[in-house]
Amino acid sequence: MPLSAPSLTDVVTVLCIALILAVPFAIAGLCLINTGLGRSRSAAQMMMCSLGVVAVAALVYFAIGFAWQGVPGGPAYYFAVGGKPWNWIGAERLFLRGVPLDISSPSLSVWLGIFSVGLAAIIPLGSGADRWRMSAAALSTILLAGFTYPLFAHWVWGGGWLEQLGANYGIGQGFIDAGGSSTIHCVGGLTALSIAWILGPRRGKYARDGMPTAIPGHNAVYVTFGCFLSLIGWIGLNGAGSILMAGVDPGNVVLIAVNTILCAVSAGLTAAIVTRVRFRKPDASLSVNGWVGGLVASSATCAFIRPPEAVIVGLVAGGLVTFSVEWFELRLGVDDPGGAISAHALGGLWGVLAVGLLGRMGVAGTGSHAQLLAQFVGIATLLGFVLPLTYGLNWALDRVYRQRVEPEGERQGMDLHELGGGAYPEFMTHDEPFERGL
Amino acid sequence: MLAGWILVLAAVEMLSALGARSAFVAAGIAVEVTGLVLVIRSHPAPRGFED
Repeated sequence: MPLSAPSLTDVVTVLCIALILAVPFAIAGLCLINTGLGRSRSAAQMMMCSLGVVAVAALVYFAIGFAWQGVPGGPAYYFAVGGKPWNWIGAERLFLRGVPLDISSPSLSVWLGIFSVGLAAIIPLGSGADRWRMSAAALSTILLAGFTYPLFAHWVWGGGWLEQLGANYGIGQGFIDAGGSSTIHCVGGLTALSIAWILGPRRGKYARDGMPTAIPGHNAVYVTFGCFLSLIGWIGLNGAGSILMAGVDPGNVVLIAVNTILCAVSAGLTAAIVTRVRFRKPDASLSVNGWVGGLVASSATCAFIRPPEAVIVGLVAGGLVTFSVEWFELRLGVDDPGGAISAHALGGLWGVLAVGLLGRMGVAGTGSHAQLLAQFVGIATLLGFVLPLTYGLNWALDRVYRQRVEPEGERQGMDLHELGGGAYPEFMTHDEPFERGL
Repeated sequence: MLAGWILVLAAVEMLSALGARSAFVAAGIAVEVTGLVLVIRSHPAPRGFED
């Protein structure tokens, strides 16, 4: 069955291509952020691991991922309940057979999808930094790119049951996520939470009495530069996602870009101010997490809110991420070196919720209450289905193939243990001060 | 957590009034949050590693 989707004009096609070309900057930015927030002795492994998971994600998505994600109106598997169809998984052909790979909308969706799944696969690396084996990360990525991501992306972007909540059940316009707050970032962030739980904390992170020790990132320059790269990538991601996945009028591209920027800067600034007030000096790591949290929250909302509301979304995201990083570390004992859980999972949930609270869909007869309900159904699906699914898959993987590096490897550093050499061979290596006395 | 999600799905499928649907979706999310709290508590608080 041929793929069906609305055709694009030449101008819109060129615009989409330009936007999609910017998306790898988001991947590069997250790689730098994850690397900079980890230890220097794991920097090369983190960058190599990032390349590896992006490659694995792209190949798996090419082989099976897109077939299960599908496009709206394309072939899919349904089951009927009460006479209404529940579209639960795509039924395209494997290995992209049947996709014309021209400049049509489904083809551009495939291209964007390859980058999107790579971005989702990068996220758990932040929470598994300094202790996640490269081979295990690659295997985990197969599960993410081959099953978890395509399944949820089909529900939201591929004509699945969440997207159809409006048409089938009259719940607003169905679940809405223009740029991937849920499909990319919540899926990646919830996987990051699962990985952090399964791996356990880094050696030396918690003292015998359970109190956490600060292990600062090794390169603030990477981290902050990563923020600027991410901003470029997110403008592309949000713009292309809104047009191709959510069917937003391409004339809104400037609004989308402005909202993305305002969300990021207000969230980053909020985090800097909050940490300045609480700790007397702005914290670079938390400010960066806030910035990324703002970007993540912007993804769902960017096409449906006005700029003043984008500032509000960013303010909330910045505050939320700042406090949740501390909450995860202190209260829950979750060691997340890159802040991936807070920035991506919680930032994404907030973005999805903000669509229901602040979004203006512009369709008569759909009250904001109904749209808020649709967004809550999506949030319930993320917490009640995606989190147990990704945790279960990674737990099962860990039972057959241990994901955490051996104690000796962690002591040596991931660079030396897994790659045989460090990222900074000319630098002198010092004893790790965080492990003394433990 | 899965039970909470199923409650949400049941509310979507079986109820039609917005208020009733909203109440049951809220209840389902509350069940999910309870499940999440239980999962968090099932993970032991981390202590320093012995070398």
